[in-house]
Amino acid sequence: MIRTLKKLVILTLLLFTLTGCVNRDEISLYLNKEQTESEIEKLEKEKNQNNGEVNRVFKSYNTNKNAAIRFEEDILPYLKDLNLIKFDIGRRSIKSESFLQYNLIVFKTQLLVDIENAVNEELLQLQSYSNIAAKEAEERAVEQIFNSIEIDYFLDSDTGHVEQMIMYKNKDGSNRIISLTWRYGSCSKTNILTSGEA
Amino acid sequence: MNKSNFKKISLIIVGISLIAFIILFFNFYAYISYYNTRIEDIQNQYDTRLDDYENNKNLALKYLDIYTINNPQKYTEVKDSIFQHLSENLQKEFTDLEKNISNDSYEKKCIIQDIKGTVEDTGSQIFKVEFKLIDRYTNSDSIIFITISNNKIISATEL
Repeated sequence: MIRTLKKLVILTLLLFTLTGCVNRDEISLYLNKEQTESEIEKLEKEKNQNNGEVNRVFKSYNTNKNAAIRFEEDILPYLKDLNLIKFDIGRRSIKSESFLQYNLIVFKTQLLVDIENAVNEELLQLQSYSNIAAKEAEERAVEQIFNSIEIDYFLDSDTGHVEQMIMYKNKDGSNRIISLTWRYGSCSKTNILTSGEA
Repeated sequence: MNKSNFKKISLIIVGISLIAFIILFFNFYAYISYYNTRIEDIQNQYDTRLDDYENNKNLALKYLDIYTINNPQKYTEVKDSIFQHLSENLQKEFTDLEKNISNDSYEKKCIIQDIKGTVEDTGSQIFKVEFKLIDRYTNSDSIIFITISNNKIISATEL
């Protein structure tokens, strides 16, 4: 009988030892299954909400960016053709058409002035003037400005709206920027910005 | 009760307890394992595409606190929160700023109107922040481009 009791005591001690290995938080999770389940549900809901939000932002971002890229494909040849002053907006999705038209003309005029300034600067550096040298200087200035054209798409992470910025750098380091804001695949706002010397 | 019966009953009780305990133990571990798997699944399914962007966006917004410095105490406060996130050049600029701080009791406010960001090919992110600066004498609108790379602000250019 004593031997049996001994075995019982050892077994009980063993079980206690095993139970002691279990993390208290885990025991609490197990004992409050309902609460644990509702917490998991809450986390699941938060995750779905976050994923839905991120998807919505990226979907909107892609729509706006694609519209911006389509527009940019048309606008770049216009900017690079020095003889064109007016841009034909045509049937593009633009909200304030006249304001964009106005800003484009201002931007293009500014571009022409910047090219002219760059050409003059090049000409000043020439030892002697010749038509060929002047032509080459103009080509260099135009190439320099056009090669510096950079286009960025700024995302508003709350809405998915995109601000497309087309900018070029002048010889003095200043930047000319035309900014187009795209919402729901349509250009809704335009602005011209100029940064000082870099 | 004789000795033999006591032994049998004890063994049965111990046996049943042991089986119940083992079942409970397995049940417990199965639940904990199920719980851990679900939590891990939720974490893995989290769409984290904007996390890095949002962290850098907050850092860019924090940078604008520099515009609100109106006295040495505020300078120290802003320094504590932003200095470690500035590149060496900007740290130097920030240190130089200390010499020109007046002790103004009038609170300077920086109201964020718009913030948008883009990712460069190099991986650095540029934030364009439009903000309104209000102090005793001025009420002006400004735009700043803040470039962040590897959790450090490497440039801040105001238009």
